[in-house]
Amino acid sequence: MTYLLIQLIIWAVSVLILTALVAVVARRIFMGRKYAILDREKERHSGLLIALSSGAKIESEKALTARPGSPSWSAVEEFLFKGLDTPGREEAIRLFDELGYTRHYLERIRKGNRWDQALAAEKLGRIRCQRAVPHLIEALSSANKDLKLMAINSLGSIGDEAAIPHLISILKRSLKDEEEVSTRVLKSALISFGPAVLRDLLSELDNDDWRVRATVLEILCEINDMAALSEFTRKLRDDEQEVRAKAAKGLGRLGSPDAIPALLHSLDDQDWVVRLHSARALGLIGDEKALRALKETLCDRNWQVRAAASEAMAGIGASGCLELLRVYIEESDQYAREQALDELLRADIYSRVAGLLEREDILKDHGKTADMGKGADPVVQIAGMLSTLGPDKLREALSSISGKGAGDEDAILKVCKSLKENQSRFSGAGSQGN
Amino acid sequence: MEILSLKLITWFNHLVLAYYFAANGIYLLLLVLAAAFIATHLSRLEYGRYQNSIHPSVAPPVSLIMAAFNEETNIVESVRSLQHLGYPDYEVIVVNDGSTDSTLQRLMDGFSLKRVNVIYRDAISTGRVRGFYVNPDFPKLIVVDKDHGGKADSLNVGINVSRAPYFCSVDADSILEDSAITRLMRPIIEEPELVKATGGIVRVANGSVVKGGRLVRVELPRDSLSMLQIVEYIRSFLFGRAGLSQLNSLLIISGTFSMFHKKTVQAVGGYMSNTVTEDMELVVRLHKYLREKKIKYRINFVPDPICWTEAPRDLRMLKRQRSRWHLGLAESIYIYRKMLFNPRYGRIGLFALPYQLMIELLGPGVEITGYFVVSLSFFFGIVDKYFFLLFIIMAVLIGIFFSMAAILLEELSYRRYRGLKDVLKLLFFGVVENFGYRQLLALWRTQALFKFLFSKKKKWEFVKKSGFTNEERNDRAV
Repeated sequence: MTYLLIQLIIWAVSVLILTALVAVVARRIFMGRKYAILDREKERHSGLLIALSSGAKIESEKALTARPGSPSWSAVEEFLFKGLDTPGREEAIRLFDELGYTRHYLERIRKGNRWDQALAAEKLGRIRCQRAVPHLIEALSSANKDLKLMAINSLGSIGDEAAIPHLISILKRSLKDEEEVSTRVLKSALISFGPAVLRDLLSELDNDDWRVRATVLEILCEINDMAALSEFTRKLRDDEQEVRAKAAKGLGRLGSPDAIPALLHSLDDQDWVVRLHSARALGLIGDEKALRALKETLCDRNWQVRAAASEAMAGIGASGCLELLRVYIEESDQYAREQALDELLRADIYSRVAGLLEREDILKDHGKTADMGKGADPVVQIAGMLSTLGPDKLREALSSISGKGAGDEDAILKVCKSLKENQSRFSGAGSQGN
Repeated sequence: MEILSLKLITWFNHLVLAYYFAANGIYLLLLVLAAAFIATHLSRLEYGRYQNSIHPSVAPPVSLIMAAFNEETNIVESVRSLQHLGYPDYEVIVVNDGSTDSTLQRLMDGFSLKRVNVIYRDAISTGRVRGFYVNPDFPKLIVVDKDHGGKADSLNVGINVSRAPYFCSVDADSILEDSAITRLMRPIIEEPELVKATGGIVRVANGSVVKGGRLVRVELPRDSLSMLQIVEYIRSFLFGRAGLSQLNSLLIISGTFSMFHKKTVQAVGGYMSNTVTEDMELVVRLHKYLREKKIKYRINFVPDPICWTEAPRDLRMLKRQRSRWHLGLAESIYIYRKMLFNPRYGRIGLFALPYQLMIELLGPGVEITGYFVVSLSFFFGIVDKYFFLLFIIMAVLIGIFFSMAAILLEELSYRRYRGLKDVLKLLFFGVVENFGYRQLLALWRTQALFKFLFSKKKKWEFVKKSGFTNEERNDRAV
């Protein structure tokens, strides 16, 4: 009995091994043949892609007709999708419809298994099929999570405005954890609509749920339309810090100088994230009017805000760097000095000054005119400011902003000497700097 | 006394058989789960291209962190291969872990880097950072030079420097496919609140053609040791990890290429510096933290072949590598022993950790002892031929089945080895690995366990690799 049982086990395991082995080989042979047929079909229909690429109209539609799922069907479909990136884009979309692909995939959305449904929704979106919009909107209430996700993405790709209220509604539900769907994909779909989505989104900015308000601002920020400027500014006064931070970020993206007063006010916000985004926004707007407030923000109690302020100052340009240098040389706050130095190193101010000193022609020009007033090269102003320092302080400052420390003493001494020799030429700049 | 010894031996023989039944039963369960997991994944992969159409701003930024210690052979090529990955927003942070060779110099020359002194804030405590190197022409790249402190310390420096909400650890000797980050990020984009980490499949690149740090053609190696490792990797990743991921019980996601949610990792204190395998230790700690905080989460496995690595080409290096892995496993289980069989940690405490302890950690010891004791028992007539036959079936024959099944899964899914000859070769080595190779690995792992239990010296075993040659078949003799 035991022997029989063992015999049985041996047979069972051996059969399993042989089955797996045969399955591997059979599958390899089968797939090899399948791909060979597919390659032949691709070869047969290769003219389609050439015609689409040249923008020609396809006359022989009948030759392209095939049974759904057949190698010929797959080959033609592949070329139609490739044709979307060619001048024959419209022709590819027309053929997709004419050859029965649209009908087939619309049917798959209704009757396919969960993966077929999702794949059909994805393909209809990729081809930007307008006819699919009602079906995709209907799919938004499906229990099939994958179908829902693909429907959201495809509605964004197609860009039919009829879908906007549905997508916003699903976004609100998902933010309240009433719906399990990726908010990232939802945001992406809404961003795809561009300014067309503005009206519907702006009306949500007074939603009771702060998560909705913040997410709407995030989407508006990506759409980057000036029509939202006043709303972003208004939301800088929202009760919720996350909303205020997103509003500041959006204003930075818009880059309008009109937002500067409100952002300067937000640099004193009680929440550090709001202060951080306000500083960054001011840097993105790049107006020198913000320099003074940003300079004060270098003494903020939060290091991330200090870092954002220094980055913003450098972002404003060489005049910002000049202010950073002034902070490094004159400021008593150790953290502010360190932060300023950090940014000066990133901006590679030392190399720019050293480069300037090597360009005799520039020095001569500035020497001749001695015009260091408004509009002068800020690097010259930086050089001018450095040249007014005492020898020890100058060497120490150059050593720090070069990032080389004592490692490159000779080069630093050479720059020191050159700055001092040309101090008179920079005098205008020096006084300007001071 | 003699009767007692006989009883003990008989008892042990039955224990060995019971172990094999239990282990093979679990493997069978994992195989079924993995098959379902991979089938679902492949079906979903077909419409995964939707990721290309999503707006770049909603794809979360990612920091790729590469810890490099004495990697002068590959480093420039490896970093260059990371510059053109198909993902909208990522940065590459290379941490030179106090290399004693010219790793840093090669990086500086290769990318014309310039030293900048930026403020370094160690949110996670690390060794001393010496400097930062950048070049505006490579805005995605930042090189950090630091005192030698080990891989975990280097990764922690990378986390501190990182500006992205997700980071991915990448080994300096690994090759990523262009879509690697996109694929690894898909579960995160779809369920950003839930997924805290993802790990991909690591494949053996030995034999394949590598050009400019990129894998241009997948080919099988000529040497047997690499072939055996290829089959082993397929089995381990395709049904081991895929099955465990299905149960959300993944304790190991390879440090060679894995993605983490930075804030969660920071919350647990980053990588632990004094462990042998920092990747497993971190994953177990994440499970512990998330379960204790009652946070809903998933640690996902992505079964796409997206990362390729060089496997050891000689037995000495292979032994070192496997001993290190086993030592790391023992260490991680020991550190978190309080989680074992603890219902507070759900399936991690009741299944994943006990599985790692009983099957993966202690299993090789039982296996090796079993070969000797059962064979000698049969020789001396303590067990009958049926018992011995059953043992052979459980120890070898079923092993062959699992190897075949793994190759079948590979064939049904990714088919990275193109020719029929390649498949036959894989099948052949799937059989061969059960006669000597698996037993050798079990022996090394048992030795490593003894080393863990009885030796005080548990130093990091450095595994030397030859490096990928440019524009030629990466196929050196053993």
